[in-house]
Amino acid sequence: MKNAQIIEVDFSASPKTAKETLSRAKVKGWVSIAFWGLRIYIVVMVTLVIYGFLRGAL
Amino acid sequence: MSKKIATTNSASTLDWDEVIREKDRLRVQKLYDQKGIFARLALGLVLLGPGVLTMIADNDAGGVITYAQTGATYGIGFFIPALIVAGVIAFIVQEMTVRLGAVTGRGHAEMIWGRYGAFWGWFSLIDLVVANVLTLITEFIGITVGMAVFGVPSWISTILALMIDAFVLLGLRYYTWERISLWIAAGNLLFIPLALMAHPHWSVISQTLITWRIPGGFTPAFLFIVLANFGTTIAPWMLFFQQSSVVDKGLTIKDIRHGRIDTAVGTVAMVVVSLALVILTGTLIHGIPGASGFGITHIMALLGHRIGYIGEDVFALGLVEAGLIAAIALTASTSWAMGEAFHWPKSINMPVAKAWKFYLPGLGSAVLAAIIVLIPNLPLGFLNLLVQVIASIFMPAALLFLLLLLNDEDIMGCHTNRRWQNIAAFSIVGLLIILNGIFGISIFFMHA
Repeated sequence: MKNAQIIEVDFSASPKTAKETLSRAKVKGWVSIAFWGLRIYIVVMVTLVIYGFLRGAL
Repeated sequence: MSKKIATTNSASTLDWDEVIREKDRLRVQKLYDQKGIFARLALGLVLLGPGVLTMIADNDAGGVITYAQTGATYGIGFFIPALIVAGVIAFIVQEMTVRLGAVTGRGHAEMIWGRYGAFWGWFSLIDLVVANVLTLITEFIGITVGMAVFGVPSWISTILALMIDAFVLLGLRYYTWERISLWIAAGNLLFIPLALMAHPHWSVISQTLITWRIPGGFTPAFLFIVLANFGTTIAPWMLFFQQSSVVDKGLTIKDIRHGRIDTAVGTVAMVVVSLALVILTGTLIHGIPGASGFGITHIMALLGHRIGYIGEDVFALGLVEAGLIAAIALTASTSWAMGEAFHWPKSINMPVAKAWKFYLPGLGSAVLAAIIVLIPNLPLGFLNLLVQVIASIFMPAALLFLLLLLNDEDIMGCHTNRRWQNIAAFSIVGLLIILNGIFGISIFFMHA
């Protein structure tokens, strides 16, 4: 019976996109600005971490 | 309990884990089809899981210690309403991971890798794995501290915790893994009766909801604690863990409502337990000379003196549970993220022999953390700072990707964020980014 149940399952309920290949998102407009903001944030924070290590703060 | 299942030729065209997941979906569908209050209740219980586990695991060993020390230092005041607000923030962010997982059927790591490329994929993955290993160390430390109350040597506690963590991950299929984890998570509620045993002044507690009183006034040290609490309200692993959990459980679009309820139940549990801890130590420890400098062992011993040794024992058990449930979640989070990033098998339903690549990173991170914990004279303060610094760098990126994906019509269709959700989400993300940034910077000024 368990095997029969498996075959009867309605697969339309499953997420349809999971088997498809994901395409890259187009990064433009405010998204592009957000990414640059993120890059700057990361560089500033990593610089602070390195500074902290060198000064013995960490 | 076993991960072995029988498949027919028809079913064998599906991946192994998909067969089990479809069986889980079938069970849920049967409950959807049934009428009556008991069927509704059963459906609700079956669909509880990812949200409750994520939120309870956020009250990890480090969280328990932080809340206990916060209560001891600042008493009953600002942190009562602040923790409620933190819970609302956590709910709004984690609800987005439910929708993203249910609609796309993919984990967070896979989405970042696929939509934004290898650079951001690697960035997120390395940050997550490093932060998870470091956090796992703190969980094992919490477990050893808790077990020490019962006279168990740290090496035995660590090995026991590692064995349970490994068994749960390797030996169980998703549904059983989730149920066992939920039972362990229920141990987090031990702190609630403890708080009641402290006989707190409820009128004072209710007043704080209006006054937001700051005991001792607004000082740099207070600001640091506020930033630590708010800045780590949402840890990076939580986004990855809940989304992967939703996917592995097989939740679909029609389950989103229940996913929200699950997350809400978890949020209430998380907030009530964190409040219980602050109320417990805020009532019994705050005001004792030097309370702001007490370590967790000292706090537990004082609880033993104030409410009897049962108090110390129950607190220690709660600390062990908090470390264990977080260790289980972090281990699974690492495995899921690696599996998603590299398109390996990525399901707890998979048998070890067929998906050793998936299990290895999670198990390896737990073993590494356990080995490090056994090193004598471990620099705990340094490790704790390192976790916080990595989280403060990584968190804005993780939240930004979450928001971008939730506004991506190509993948979310009609389930993108609504206007009010975006206003709330962007405000929260902006606040968390600012607090994380200030927190990260303040660490240097506080310790330089």
